[in-house]
Amino acid sequence: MDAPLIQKKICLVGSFAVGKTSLIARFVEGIFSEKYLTTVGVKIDRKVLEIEGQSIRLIIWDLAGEDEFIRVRQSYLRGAHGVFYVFDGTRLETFENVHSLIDRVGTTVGNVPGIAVANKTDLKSDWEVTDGAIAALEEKMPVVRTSAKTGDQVEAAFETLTRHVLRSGGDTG
Amino acid sequence: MKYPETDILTPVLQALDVLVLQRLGCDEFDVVGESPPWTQAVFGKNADPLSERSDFIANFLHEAEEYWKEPFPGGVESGIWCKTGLDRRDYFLEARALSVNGEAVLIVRSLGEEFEERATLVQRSHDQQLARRALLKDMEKKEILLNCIVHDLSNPLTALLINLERLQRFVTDDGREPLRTAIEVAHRQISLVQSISNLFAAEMADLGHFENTEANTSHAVDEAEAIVRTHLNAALDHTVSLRLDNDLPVGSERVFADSTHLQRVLENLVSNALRYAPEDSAVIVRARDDAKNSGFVRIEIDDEGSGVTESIADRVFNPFVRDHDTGGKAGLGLYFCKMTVTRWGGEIGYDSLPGGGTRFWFTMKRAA
Repeated sequence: MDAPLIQKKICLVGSFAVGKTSLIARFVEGIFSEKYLTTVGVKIDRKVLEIEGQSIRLIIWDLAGEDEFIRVRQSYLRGAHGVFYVFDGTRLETFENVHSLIDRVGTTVGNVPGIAVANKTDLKSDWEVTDGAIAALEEKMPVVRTSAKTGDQVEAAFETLTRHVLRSGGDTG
Repeated sequence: MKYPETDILTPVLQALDVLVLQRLGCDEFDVVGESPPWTQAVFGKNADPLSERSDFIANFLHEAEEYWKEPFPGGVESGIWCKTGLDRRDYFLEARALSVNGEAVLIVRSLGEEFEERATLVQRSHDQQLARRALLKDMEKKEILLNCIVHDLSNPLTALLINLERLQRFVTDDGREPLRTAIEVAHRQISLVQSISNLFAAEMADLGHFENTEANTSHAVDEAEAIVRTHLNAALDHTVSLRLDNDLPVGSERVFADSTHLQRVLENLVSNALRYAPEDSAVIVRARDDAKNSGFVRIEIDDEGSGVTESIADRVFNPFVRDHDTGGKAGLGLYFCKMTVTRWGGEIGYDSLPGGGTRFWFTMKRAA
């Protein structure tokens, strides 16, 4: 008999235009679009990952990017098994917002596994976020450097978080 | 109690384009009136509970159930979510939990023009914020480049002026007037540098692009030798010994770095080392293979100075960062070096030397 499918809710949070939707599009559909289309509200995608012989269905919540006026609705985070804190390496303020998000997510859903995603490695020469700053964040949580544009490390980021989620236990959704 | 369908209800709900669900029990709902046409595309046709047909609704029902236990006027709304329907179309939806005469009701509506307007506004706001940011960054870059030009033009002029002023002590009466004129001209030139630099700003803004072509190669050792030679007198004035050690294998000296900028990078680093070198110390420029990457040539400039001040240790290559009293310098020399070396595809850094002093280094890709 096949093992039951494990289901995990994963949320992507971060400032607007950091590439959350693009990361999901790359991961789920293997595509990338240069055009920036802002996400309004939430979009949910699903993808099954095979990890260590287990099939895990990820329910991926793409939450609208934060800006001056829009904050993540805390209710969207309910039941999250893992959180991606996404920032854009070329925009320092998006990295700074990650720290505030970590605190807010922690207050809402407690100690949920999270990893930071430093997106846009294809624009490395324009990065404002220094390796030193990322190293400091790495003391809090793993940081994966990705490019949704080239696909570099995108799969690895989802696998890393999923492994963390599985290691942390919790229900099987 | 289940609401009876009246003659008026169905057309009203159709006109509103909403799906109205009456809660019968936990995760059990009955459709009130007729379902709008999009319902099947969004939620499917099967008889599974709603929460199993929509991850978003499943999440919202937690909030809704809490509300239905203790309702308040207005109800709770879910926020907008996007669902790609079975027909591959994106639907933008919003749900609201209401309590009507003690009955729990869930309303789902597909957002039309109202959503389009809101999405357009948010999109425009984000686009404008990104455009504004890009503009500010561009302006900042241009301002820094402009300061780099001023810095590079001012350096030799200042040296010229200092030497002319020194000459005043030795000049004969016949030479005094021409020398005064020369000093005046030097002063004038320094003040003109600022305005002249504006003419070059546009050209310098192209500094970002570099191609590894034959035309963009230099002889690393020849360039280093030339810079050491031009600084020998200045070194002697400070009673500092300055020399070049070439550890590169013969024939491996060509690197991808344009000569003009390589001279400026070397000039900045050697001048800095001499500036901070104590009397009777040595400044050594060394060219060698990069131990970390055999495809690169590494240039090192060692001094025996007091080292980089701790407060600026992690910002040495940032613009406008100055160590000690730098005599009115803008703090752009090292920033320029970093910008240039990075543009060539190399790396730049510094290390404190065990016996005191600092080693600044940079690498350049070897031209085959």
